[in-house]
Amino acid sequence: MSHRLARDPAYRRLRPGRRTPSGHLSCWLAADHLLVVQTLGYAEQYRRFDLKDIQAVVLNPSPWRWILLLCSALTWIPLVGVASWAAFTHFDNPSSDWAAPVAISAAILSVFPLLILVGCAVSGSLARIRIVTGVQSTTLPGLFNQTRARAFAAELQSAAIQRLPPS
Amino acid sequence: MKRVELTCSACRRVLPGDSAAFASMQACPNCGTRVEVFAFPAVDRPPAPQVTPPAVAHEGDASCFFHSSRKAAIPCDECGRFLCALCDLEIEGRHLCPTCLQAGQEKRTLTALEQSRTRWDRIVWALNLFSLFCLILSPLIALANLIITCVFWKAPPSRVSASRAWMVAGTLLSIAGGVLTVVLFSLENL
Repeated sequence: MSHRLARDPAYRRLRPGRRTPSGHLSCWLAADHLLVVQTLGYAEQYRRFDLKDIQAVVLNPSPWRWILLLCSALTWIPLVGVASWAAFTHFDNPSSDWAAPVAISAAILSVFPLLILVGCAVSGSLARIRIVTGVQSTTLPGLFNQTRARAFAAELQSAAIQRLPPS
Repeated sequence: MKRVELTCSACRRVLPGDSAAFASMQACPNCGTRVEVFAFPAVDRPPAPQVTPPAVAHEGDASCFFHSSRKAAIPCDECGRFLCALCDLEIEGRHLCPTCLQAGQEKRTLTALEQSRTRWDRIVWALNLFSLFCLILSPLIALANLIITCVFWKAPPSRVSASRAWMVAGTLLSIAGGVLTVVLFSLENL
């Protein structure tokens, strides 16, 4: 067996994966099991799920995308308003000493909620993935893109059916 | 295999139905929360029959090392002890007895049972980051990184990223930083 999963022909990487500042999560499919690798701080943890033990994969849509969208929009709109108002004030009255700094500061600050807004809009719906076996129910840490989560579940399901045809 | 009752993560109530019902389920029938269930073949599988190894029938029959009244089915691939169907544990295509399985788990020779690994490369880089905020300690940190790299060189690396390359790069960088710090302090004192 190779030290690195990416070079190991027995393992195939599955989407979704997740990368955060504290670590990352990746899923690897072998002929008979699913290996979930989670890096947290200074340790890499492995969880194996035998395909013949997995009873279901449950996807629970999460409202976090809409909450983030709403919060970032509610932050971005006032900031853009303040920036525009200060900019117009500056053009109307170039001698005012506060308008230009306020316009520039508000414009710079509005970039952050805008980035979150665009990120949320592009990322699509989010979902939690729960893997249910005969003895445990494990929720993969974090939120995943729903389309990718569906593809992950479908791929895992077809691998399990190949390994263990329906009775 | 025991069938686990699937529950809704919002209302915690049991989702009714079988695999066919799960396939068409769009929302929890109890609370209406959207939920998608991908049922696997194991969900409809009947419970596996309980394994009862046959008893020793004749005096000449080989018996299990752990259950002397039970007939041996297979020898352990590691120690050669005879095992009954109960004691035979199949891991990575090998048949092992419980003692060899435990030994393999403790010595980390069975990768299929490995639960975690320490990321020494991350520790080296964390120390490097710390040395940025405390330059005076950078020679000591360089020494610590060198010791970590030498001592844990043979420790199993990360299974996902090129751990050793990062560890070497981090150590070289910290050594360079440590030497530079020493040189700068020496020049300042001259």
